[in-house]
Amino acid sequence: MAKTIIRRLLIMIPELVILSILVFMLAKLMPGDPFTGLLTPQTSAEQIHQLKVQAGLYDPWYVQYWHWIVRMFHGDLGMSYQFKSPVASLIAERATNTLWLSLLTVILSYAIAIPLGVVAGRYENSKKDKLIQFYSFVVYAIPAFVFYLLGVYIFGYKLHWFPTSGSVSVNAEEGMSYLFSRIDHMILPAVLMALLSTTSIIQYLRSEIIDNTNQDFVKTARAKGVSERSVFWKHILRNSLLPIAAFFGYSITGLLGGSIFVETIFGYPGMGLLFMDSIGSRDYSVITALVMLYGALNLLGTLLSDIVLSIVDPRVRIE
Amino acid sequence: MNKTRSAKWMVTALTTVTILGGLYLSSTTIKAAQDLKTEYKNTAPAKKGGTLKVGYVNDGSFKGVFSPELSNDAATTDVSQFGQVGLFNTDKNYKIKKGGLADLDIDNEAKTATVKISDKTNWSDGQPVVARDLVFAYEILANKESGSARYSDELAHIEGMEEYHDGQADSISGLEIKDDKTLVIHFKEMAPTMQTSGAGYIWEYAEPYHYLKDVAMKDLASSDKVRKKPLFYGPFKIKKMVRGESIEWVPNTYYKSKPKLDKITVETVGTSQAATAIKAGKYDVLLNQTPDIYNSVKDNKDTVELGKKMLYYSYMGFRVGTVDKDGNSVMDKSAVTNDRALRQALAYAMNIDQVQEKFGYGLSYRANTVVPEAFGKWNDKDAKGFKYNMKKAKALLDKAGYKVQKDGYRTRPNGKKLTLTLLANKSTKNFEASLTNYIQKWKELGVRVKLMNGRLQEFNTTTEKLLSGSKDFDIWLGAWSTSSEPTDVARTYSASSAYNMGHFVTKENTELINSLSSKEAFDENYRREQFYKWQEYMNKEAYIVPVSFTHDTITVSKKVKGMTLDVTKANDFWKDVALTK
Repeated sequence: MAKTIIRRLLIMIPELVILSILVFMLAKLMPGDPFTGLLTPQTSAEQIHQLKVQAGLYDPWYVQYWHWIVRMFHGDLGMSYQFKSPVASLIAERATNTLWLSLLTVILSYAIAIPLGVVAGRYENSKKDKLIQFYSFVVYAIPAFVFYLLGVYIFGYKLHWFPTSGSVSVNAEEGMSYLFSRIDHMILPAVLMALLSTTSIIQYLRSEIIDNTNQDFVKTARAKGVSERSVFWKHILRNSLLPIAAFFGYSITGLLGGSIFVETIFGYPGMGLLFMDSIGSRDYSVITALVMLYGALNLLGTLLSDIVLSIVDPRVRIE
Repeated sequence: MNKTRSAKWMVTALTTVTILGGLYLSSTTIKAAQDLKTEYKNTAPAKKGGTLKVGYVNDGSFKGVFSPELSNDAATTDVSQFGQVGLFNTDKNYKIKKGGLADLDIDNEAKTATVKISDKTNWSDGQPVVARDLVFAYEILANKESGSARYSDELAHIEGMEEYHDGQADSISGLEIKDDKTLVIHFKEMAPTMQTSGAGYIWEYAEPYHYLKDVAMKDLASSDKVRKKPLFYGPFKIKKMVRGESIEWVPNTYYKSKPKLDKITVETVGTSQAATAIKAGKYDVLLNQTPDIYNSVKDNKDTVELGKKMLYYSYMGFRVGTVDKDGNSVMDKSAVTNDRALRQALAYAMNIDQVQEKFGYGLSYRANTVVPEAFGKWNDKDAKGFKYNMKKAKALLDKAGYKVQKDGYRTRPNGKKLTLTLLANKSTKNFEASLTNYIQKWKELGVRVKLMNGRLQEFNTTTEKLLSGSKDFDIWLGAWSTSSEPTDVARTYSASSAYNMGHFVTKENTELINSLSSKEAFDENYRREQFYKWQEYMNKEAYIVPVSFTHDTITVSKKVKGMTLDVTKANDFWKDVALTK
């Protein structure tokens, strides 16, 4: 297995190189450049031209690509044109915000979805099941931004339970108060996002449980006189969790994706908005860094999913 | 300060589109914009101290480069207005007058401008603001290492500026420090508009040399001293900040007088929840609100709306030329739009009044020239613009030989098919609705107008098409925020200007524009007369058709005292803002 993992890791290198060439070329093909937004009668077009020369934007793409690669191997991802700060620190800052929010969301969504899926599957067609089904289709159907806005309106402005925007209060002092303020700001968006993302987990779990209930190995267990409790928890549920485990690797990759809706509505500066902004303003250095990061994470996520699956399901072997 | 504030520019009709803004579309009764006051005269007694909560409407984060020379971000300018103020006060026509943090004296004979910094003007670390700080600001602007986008032809009027910019000199020879508080600026050539704030010849900010001198020019924009712990000479200074989101401002104890408030917190709030937030009392003041937000909070009983005419015009442009290899505009004889009758007819067929009434929330209205009414007497009141007149429009085309065919559309005088291509940005729902209305009216006129590539374009594409001299379109819809010098509007349309995007060049236009900076133009009355003539000429030729002017609005809680949008108080009113008991 170790051999396979190393091989998969090595194959990522050419994959990432190809990705970097593609993203570099495509980014330059988009109309406009990082300075297009500065062109107004209040700025001198000559000065903007000058800045573009200085930034090397008139060089052929392979020259720019070479400079970028060389700098990257020196640990320098360049400067963001629009934020005027180093790309690495910018991404680190946003990634921290997004990571904590997503982590909380993932934990909450599993914490909500797994019990609901279990109940729905175990008591198929009961009132409880129908209620859970109803819930899961409602949250599946509702447009995300409507749901978030409603959430902010009810829990933020009417009940005053949670702060309505930002990642932390500007008044928070260093230390514990800062930490609490951050968590306080994350709860509402995380709960709302978690509620919206439960459907697939509930549905997978429910149908797996129903399927497994009628499997031969379950009948055998029952015939052997294994207690009903033990049949469910040890035989049915364990097997039903397999597809969810397979998702897990991707969930981890998704932690850094960020959500544009949540970030826009809650004024929460995360990766989603950063990506959108940098594409809109042609902030090449940020675009390339983010695409590379997501590319690498996706490759790792796939690998991780395979590893997790081979651990939980003895039938799967990575050779 | 008007130069940077006007960086809150818009190319092609309000590009800040939000997916969610549409949620607040509603059709309540329209309150006439004339009702909007620039100042909220609250008679309740003020309370001592207190915290003012300011919401800044924005669907992103402010970039946080706290240096007017280096920042390209309107949001940063806006959230730092409590500390980052201009040195000079102005009258209501944006002319620099005495009594600010510094005074300006212009001597046209000696070709100098003397800036005298007030003895009471200090940095928030207690150091006085000195002449060297002014020089330093010019150095940041002109030094290529700094990456400033604000170096300009106007600044190059200063002696030795170009040499410094090109790296041939270590200092700017035309900047003479007379004493600690006095700077004499020597110009190669004087311009008639130097006294106006925002004209760009005289920079209106200082940078703390004693604090920043050890930071290399190329590192300034990313340095902590500029981004995290900047110094200010305005009434407030930054105490704490969450980067991109919120700032806590406290009084600058070294400011000339003590501000009434203990604290101001400003935080960005998304367009989708801004209206709800101010209605719920989360903020005392809401800045940078969109017309949609204005419309949904204007009838709220706990708040009042303040508004003023904006330095902004939207327009329809005709592409009648292209760009030669030196980047100068030249006329394109083959352009379909190279016919005055056609241009005027299209303009008269737009029912702008009705469209503005329906979609403008009472804030925007039909423009009579391309010079915003916010400029007061610089806008030619006698100019009529293009009031809807379909009959006249049709008559113009009939007379010029555009014959109506069986399908209801006209052909060109040479018998060829007439189809015009329109370029416009993706924008708000209201903008798209207005556009549909215009296209229908043109159809009624018998002119087929199609969107370029069948759809509205993304901002970068539009800008590239407009500035490159592309022949892919015939008409475009756009808008500009202007600087606070009115005649700059005309200079936008000179032959050498990169922003003359229709690329029209006529002898008369060039002469009129040149006359605005001629020797005679030092006489303000002459300059204004010529400017009126230019506005009339523009309307007659209709290369650029004025569409609308609009208002800037803010929402203020009735608990607040002293809020104003008056330009004459722009630099120091925050010290007087208070909360009521």
